Amino acid sequence: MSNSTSLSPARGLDPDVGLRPVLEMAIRIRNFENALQDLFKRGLLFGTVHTCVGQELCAAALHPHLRPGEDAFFATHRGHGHYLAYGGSEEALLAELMGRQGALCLGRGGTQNLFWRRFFSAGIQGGSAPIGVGFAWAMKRRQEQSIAVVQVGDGTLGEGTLYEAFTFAALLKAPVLFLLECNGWAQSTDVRTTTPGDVAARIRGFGLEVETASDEDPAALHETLGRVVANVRQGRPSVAMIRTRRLLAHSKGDDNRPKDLIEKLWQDDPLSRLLAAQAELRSAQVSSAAEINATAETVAQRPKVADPGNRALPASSRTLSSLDLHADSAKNRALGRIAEELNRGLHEAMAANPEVIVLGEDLLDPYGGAFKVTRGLSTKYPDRVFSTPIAEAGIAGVSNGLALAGFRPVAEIMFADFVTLASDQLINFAAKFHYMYAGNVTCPTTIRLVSGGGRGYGPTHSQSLERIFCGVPGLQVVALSHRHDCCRLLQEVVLRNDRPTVFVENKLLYSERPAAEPPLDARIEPVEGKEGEFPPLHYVSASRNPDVTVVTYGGSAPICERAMKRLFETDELAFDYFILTQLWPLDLTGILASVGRSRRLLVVEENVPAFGISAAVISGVVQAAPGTSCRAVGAQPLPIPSVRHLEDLVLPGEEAVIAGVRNLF
Amino acid sequence: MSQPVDIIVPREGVNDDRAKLVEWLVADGGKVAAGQAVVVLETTKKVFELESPAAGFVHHQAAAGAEVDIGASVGVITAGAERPARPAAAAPAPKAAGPAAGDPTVSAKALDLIRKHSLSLEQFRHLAVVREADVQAVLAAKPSSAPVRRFAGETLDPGADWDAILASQNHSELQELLRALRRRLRAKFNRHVPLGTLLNDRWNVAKENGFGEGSNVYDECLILGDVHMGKKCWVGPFTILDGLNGTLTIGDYVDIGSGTHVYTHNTVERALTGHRAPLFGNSTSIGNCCFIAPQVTIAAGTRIGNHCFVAAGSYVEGSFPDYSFIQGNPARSVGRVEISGDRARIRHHDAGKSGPA
Repeated sequence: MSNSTSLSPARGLDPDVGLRPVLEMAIRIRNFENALQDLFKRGLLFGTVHTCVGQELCAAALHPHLRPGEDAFFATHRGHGHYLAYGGSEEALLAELMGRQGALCLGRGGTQNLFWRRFFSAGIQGGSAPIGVGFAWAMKRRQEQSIAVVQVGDGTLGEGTLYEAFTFAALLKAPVLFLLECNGWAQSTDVRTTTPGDVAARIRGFGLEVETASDEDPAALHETLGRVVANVRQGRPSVAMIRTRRLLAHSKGDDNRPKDLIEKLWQDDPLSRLLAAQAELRSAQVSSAAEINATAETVAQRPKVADPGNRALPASSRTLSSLDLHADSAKNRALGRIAEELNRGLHEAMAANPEVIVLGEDLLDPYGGAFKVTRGLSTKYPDRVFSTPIAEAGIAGVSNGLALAGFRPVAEIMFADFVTLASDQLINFAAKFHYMYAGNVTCPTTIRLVSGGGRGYGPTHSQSLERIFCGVPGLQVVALSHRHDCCRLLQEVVLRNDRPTVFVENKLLYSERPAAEPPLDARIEPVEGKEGEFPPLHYVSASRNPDVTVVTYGGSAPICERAMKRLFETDELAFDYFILTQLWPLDLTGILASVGRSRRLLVVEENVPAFGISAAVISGVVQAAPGTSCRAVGAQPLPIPSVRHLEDLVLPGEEAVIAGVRNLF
Repeated sequence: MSQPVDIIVPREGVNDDRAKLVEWLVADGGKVAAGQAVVVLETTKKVFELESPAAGFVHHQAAAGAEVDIGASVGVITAGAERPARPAAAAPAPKAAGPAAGDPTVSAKALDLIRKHSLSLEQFRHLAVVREADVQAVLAAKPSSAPVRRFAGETLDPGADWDAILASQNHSELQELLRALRRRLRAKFNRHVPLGTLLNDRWNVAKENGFGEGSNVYDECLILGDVHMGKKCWVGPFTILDGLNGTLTIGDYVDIGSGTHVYTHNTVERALTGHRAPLFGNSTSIGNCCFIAPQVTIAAGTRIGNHCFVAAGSYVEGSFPDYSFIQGNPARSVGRVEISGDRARIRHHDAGKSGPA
């Protein structure tokens, strides 16, 4: 991707040729989509395609106003037309769809998930909207004078994320154009039956400018879009609503619309009428169809695309040792409370790299965030701290857009419970970009989750939901504990990790000071992390072989340590003790070596063990080291009650850990 | 207001159990009005001021920068200017993050033993955790504290002219001297000893090797590498104490009979494989109050506990607990040493047999 701020002239129309290039592009797009129909029938396409037949003029009339590679485009599942009009190669897209050599995204993205230069498409309705806003904001911050266009269908008007994107666009004055292609149908549903009220009025309510147009008059459409693009380039986020139609099925073979309605749509199709009226266009249609079919035949003869073996996470050359990450009285200055250490980490990260942007709810001074982790940042860096509306999907989406554009956003989710609202952005976007775009992009976003119970906040403000993201290929999940050098750990994640990372902060630990002396008679064992990964803290008994291997993370670590102390006092047990730093991907190397000595494993987490971290650790251990005696200690399978003494019945405490260890013998 | 009134740290949020005292707004002993802001506190959530609960004079009980518990008192207001004689309990206790460094965690069994034998916890300060075995070790070694240090060898002068030395006046005088010393030993102790021990005092040999007080070692002992020995030991002639490939540790009150070899290495596998296998090395230890009879071989890696008896001619390999009677080739624990007051008996497990003594 180019970060250039130089401007190339937009491809406006040459007055001598008039609208001809727009119409020819529309015809070319239709030919391309028709070729796909044919390839599908011949069994040369696998899966599905969503064609834009009937809507080609929306793309053809817009892109002459854009600068490919500088302006960004975020397309929907129905994005082939925009890809081609943006300048994308027909051959690379055909290879992508047929899974042949030269495939645009190595056959991973397919019809719905394409990437080329600054063209991104994705198959989740509405999710690209805040990403486009974030990307546009990033370009504005770099004073690029480029814009981002977000393609949306009228079937997406029900998605809440879209409205969060409208809010953020208006607040940030992001140079973003929402291109609302109203084809009247949401898959099989007449949009009129699902869209109450006045859509344009809705959008104006967000403070965005709205222009409406129809593709029935291509010249007027082209002119309107030119005006809107110029408006957006001036820093006025806008929506262009275009009346158009979808002539073919939503995807393949699923068109249940009445025959007479479809016939009527074809009669109204401006491209068909133009073709009927102009012989020159008909000859252009014939010649471009021949070209596209020839390309398709060539691509079909190619060998299948090979997988170069990229991983879900981008490669990294950074290696860390557990000795880098633990709080150490010999190594560190006097450490503050963990909330203060995180605050220091953010201050230092923002000082070190001007592309670190912090966003979330209630971050501004003097409040400084609900847990004061962002205190002082907005005073020191007023234009790099964005105190957002209450809109977690928007926060995560804008972060994704910033990260795609090369910034290093850090988003705070005030209570981890709210991350469910942002999970689409993490699971369907941040996690997927690198792999589905063939390893060509990274998304270095950090989502901080304020997790855990024990404070009487009740069922909806006490959960530890990091487990949702563990097991999602393409995400990295990292948790701090009272034994981590939290300032360093957060900086490593924010500044030196190009992977989308969920950073788990247990709120009970915020007011703790890091424990700098190892527990009992333990010493810290140096553990070298693999490239790009965060090794666990491993403490070994200095005086005896371990009786039990204990594995935990986050807020459960102090509970384990109190239990281990009591078990030493009563039973003289010796422990091999792991505090996981990286929960996902999970590396069991050190734990397997340890259970080889102890033959006993206890995993402790604040969550329900089933389908959780302990289930994953134990499953890995029993597969690799059968015969290991294993127990999991975690929460009862209940929501977390508010009242303290009831909360204690649900969340695991010292007694549960002690009972868990005793059950191993 | 006759009684002093406490300035209590209120709960300002659910996330904190402690607050930081940022600064006093009124000097220690200064006059305050009721409702006047006196002290600034900070939690993770906010910075806030506390107002004086009464009019009078403020007396600080915690300094700026201190961490104070929610619900504790940071100071008192008195009617008069004099500092009140308040019990120390009113002041907030300094909050330790955990046990002080050097404060070991003691197991219940260890604590029982420590109390039973009236030991002091101070003896265990160097440990992070204290197990029953740690206390037993102290009890077994009591009284102990023999200084041990590593033996350091010396190199010979390579330039010496030995022919000249042997033909020299000094040499004949030396022989004269040795004959005199032998006559003296015969007359005084009625014994003949090899040349080394004739010339070198056995106690000096022990001392020069860093062994414990009162130990004595025949000069005809090979002492190799890292050998530690406690006090009041006796080591006979023609013995080997090998600390070359591990540490050889010998406790207090140990007798090692003539011809006994104690090793920390062997080259068995290395020789058998034509040096494809490496030399084997492992540390060896003998506890306190052991008797190792003559002509015993103790292999590398062997651990012999306290009060053990090893019968003559045994080949010993493995670990043996305290009070073992060790015999045979290969040696096994065949019985027990029983100590009653100043008497020791060596009993074979098989009641029909009995050990010496």
